Amino acid sequence: MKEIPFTIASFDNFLKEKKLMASKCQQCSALWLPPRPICPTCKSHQMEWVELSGRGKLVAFTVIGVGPMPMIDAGYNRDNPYCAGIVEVEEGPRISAQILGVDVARPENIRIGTPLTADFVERGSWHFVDELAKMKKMYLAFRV
Amino acid sequence: VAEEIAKSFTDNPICIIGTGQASGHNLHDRDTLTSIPAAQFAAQQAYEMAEVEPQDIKIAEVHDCFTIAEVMAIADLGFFKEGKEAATAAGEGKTTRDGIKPINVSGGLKCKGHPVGATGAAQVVEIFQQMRGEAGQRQVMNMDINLALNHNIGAHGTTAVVQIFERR
Repeated sequence: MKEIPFTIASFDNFLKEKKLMASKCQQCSALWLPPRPICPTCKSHQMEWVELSGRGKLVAFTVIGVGPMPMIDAGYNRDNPYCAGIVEVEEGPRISAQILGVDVARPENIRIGTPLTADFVERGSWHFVDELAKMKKMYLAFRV
Repeated sequence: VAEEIAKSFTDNPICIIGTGQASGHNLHDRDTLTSIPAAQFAAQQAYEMAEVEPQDIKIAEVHDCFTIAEVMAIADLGFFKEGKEAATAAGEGKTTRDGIKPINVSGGLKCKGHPVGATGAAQVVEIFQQMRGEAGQRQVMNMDINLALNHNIGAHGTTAVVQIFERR
């Protein structure tokens, strides 16, 4: 898969296929999520794509009542808040994502360490141009 | 501009004596969520270039894009210890206009506004006016502001710049 550039656009294309892909440094074995074309640890350009299991655990979270436009358009508001968190996948790296299946009405009951699996959610994106903002995009999420 | 050129504009120029810039990991890749390593690196560079210490700085404008951001900034810059000391500094009045270390006497981003690209320029304008005694009703009165600092971050702290200013 070397011909696919290690960019966010490629990462997004994989999400459309419901694949969670990271770049792995062939020199120092570090995994980067989202993918990086150059290893931030050893500066090597020798990367390869690896598909992750999608299993992980919650390491930080917050519950948001007033979100950005795509989340408002998706129906989230003060009465229907959503959870955003940082997930550590079992292969090691961390990534930010919406957390589904937690009790957003009672954030005090959401636990760090909760096991999660990758999920894929389609919604509009954020853009200055309304027409472009309406275009659907596949986002990574994690679900309990 | 160079000091001799600045003198052609004004008899009372403000000099940049230290500057630092650093970048860092995305939020989710950091070892900590309660400090911004890029801001710490940028501050260290600026302090070393200016040959001053955090306690020498009289006032500062910091990038308080969220409430927590000021708490983190004043710790990253070495003004207050990370944790309780930084978290309670504003509540205890230490960072008000007549406090020991006035922070964001402009009102800061959350109060005066955060027009992104113009935000950093507005911070520098505040520092410039304060150091020249031209800040009107916002003027810090009880100290001689010979040294001041400006702190700015981009995104969620993936990039940071710090400048130190001196009035000679």
